[in-house]
Amino acid sequence: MSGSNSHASPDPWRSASSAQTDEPDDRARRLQRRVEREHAARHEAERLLESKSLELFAANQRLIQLNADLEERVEARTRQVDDARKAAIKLGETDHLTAIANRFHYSEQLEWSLSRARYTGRTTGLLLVDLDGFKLVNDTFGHSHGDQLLIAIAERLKSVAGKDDFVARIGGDEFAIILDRPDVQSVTEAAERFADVFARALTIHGVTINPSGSLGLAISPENCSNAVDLQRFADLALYKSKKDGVGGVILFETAFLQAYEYRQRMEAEFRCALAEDRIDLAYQPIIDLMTGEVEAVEALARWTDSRGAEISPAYFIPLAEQCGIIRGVGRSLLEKALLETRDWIDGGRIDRVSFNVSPLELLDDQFAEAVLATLGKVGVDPHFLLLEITEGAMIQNLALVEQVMDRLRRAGVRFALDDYGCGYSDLSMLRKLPISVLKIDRSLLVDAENDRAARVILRNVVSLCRKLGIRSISEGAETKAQLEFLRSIRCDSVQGFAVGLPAPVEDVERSLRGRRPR
Amino acid sequence: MKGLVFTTFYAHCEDVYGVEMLDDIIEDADLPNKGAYTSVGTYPFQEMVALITALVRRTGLPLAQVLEAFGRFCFGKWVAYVPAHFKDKDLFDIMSGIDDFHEHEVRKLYPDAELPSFKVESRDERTLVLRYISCKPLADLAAGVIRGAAAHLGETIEIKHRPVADGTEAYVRFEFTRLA
Repeated sequence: MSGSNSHASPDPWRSASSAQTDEPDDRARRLQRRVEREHAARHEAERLLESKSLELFAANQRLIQLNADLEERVEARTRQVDDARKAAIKLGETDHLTAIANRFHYSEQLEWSLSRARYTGRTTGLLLVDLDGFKLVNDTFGHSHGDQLLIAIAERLKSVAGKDDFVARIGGDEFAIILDRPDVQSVTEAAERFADVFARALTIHGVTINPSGSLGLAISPENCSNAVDLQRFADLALYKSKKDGVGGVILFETAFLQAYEYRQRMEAEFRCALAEDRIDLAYQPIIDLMTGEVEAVEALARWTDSRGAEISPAYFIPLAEQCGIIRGVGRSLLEKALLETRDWIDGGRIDRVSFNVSPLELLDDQFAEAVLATLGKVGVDPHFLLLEITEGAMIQNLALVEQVMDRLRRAGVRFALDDYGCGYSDLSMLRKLPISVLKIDRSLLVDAENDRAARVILRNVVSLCRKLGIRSISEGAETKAQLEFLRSIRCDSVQGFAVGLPAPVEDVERSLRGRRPR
Repeated sequence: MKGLVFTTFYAHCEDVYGVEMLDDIIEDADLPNKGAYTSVGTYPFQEMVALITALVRRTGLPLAQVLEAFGRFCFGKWVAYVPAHFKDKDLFDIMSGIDDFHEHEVRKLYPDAELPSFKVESRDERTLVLRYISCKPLADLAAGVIRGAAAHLGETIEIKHRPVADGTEAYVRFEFTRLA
């Protein structure tokens, strides 16, 4: 079909309808039919609307039910997510081994406790607890025992803690307890109770372990008001407790901070002095009692700090040990000692040079090679070196020490057991270890003058050495009478103020100059 | 078929041919419900066929002309129903948007309605080609709707349409050309 717009005219078709008849009956019939049609349509519409209403009502009911179901599911899912979130938070705040709070949670809790205390006016104590000898437990019995020990200690700490106390594991063998109390006295009393954690022995996998711990306490606001300082001060108190090893709780004192700052300064200065080769050596003669001649010298470290104060080796050697540089110090000073005494050795003016070794050095499996390398570098025969050791290293790991000593002994280096008679003085050491020289502690000689027992012991130790082929040297001789006594008991050698003070290398050089070779 | 088409058809018959003519074709069509339709109902398409057939017989007019007139009437109703949809629109835009109109304005009221589809085949300024796809043979009615739209917008167009069966689908190809 095609075409343009057009309109049909209605009029012709109106006339085409049969309704144009005006017969009344027909009109009535038509009207009747229209009315019936309208009624029927209206009823049909009503029926459909009613049916649609019912349909909508049912649909609405289904929607309400669906909505309720959805709400329930959303609620359940929200609960699940919330539980999972809480579990994740809990997991993130918990130490996996001991199931108490971890370091992260502890840090948050400490901040929170301090801010709360600022409003409540209460007192906050921070007690740090560190297990003593934990490494030894791990090394001796294995990590399983170590882990069980930590779990047991954590349980004991929890059992001592009050309901408001917060217990956390903040390091390998370190715990922290945050105490919230009305005053200082109640904090210290509460802290003291935690020392009881170490009062009873533990049995772990059939092994009885006597736990030991150090406890340091700092209190806010008495000592400080912020978490960083409180932690630092509690750490210093703990350090003091560990150093003193007396057990019980050590409460922070300002003096600890001063000591710490002094130590920090000394450490920095010592490191600097070492780097600039300002650690000197003095040499103390060791005299052959039979001939009265110098048979050897002992090298002794000397250090003068930036303020001109002479610092005792009894201070700076442990300092070097604590800050982990003792090995470097030992190697550097050994090289220096060998360089300074090489001519005396080469000239036959002394039989040997004695050099003190830290227990930590002996526990280094690289130590033997380092000593031999230094001897090789300086050009001194190992037979002329006598290393003085103490019992400390042997107690920690005898097997390793034996191994290190054996390697050096086979190369020709000799050993002296130092300070014998004041510690354990374990006779088995003389049997097990390659000891050539026994240095008898000065305390025995000092007591010998008025104490018969001391004299008997000294005589018998010297006799024992002779029989074992070990050379005996008595330390700390200060009087002629002591020298006479030592000669009478046939002690081989002597060292002390009575026969020679430690002196700088130049002085010793002068005194040895012109001596005939021994 | 939706009852709305029947009630619109009745209105169109009354308006164009008179109420008596409507009475007559209802009588002639011999409908099962005696011609009682409601806009919200759904009725067999065959009943509409019977009514249109009766109208064609009574009037003696060609079927195409009857359907086209009804189409124009339908467009007038739609404009009255949703005037905004057709306001300030271009004729080709309206025709291209018939499917959208069905989906947005018709489907929301009659979700199960069987609606025809108009797909644009090509378009330029002057000519628009659409494919009319429907399960009912009412292409002339569609042409009437388009004429109604053109008249509403004051445009004069030429309409050509022919059935096409290309093997994959059967449709009626509409080509509209603007004459002025």
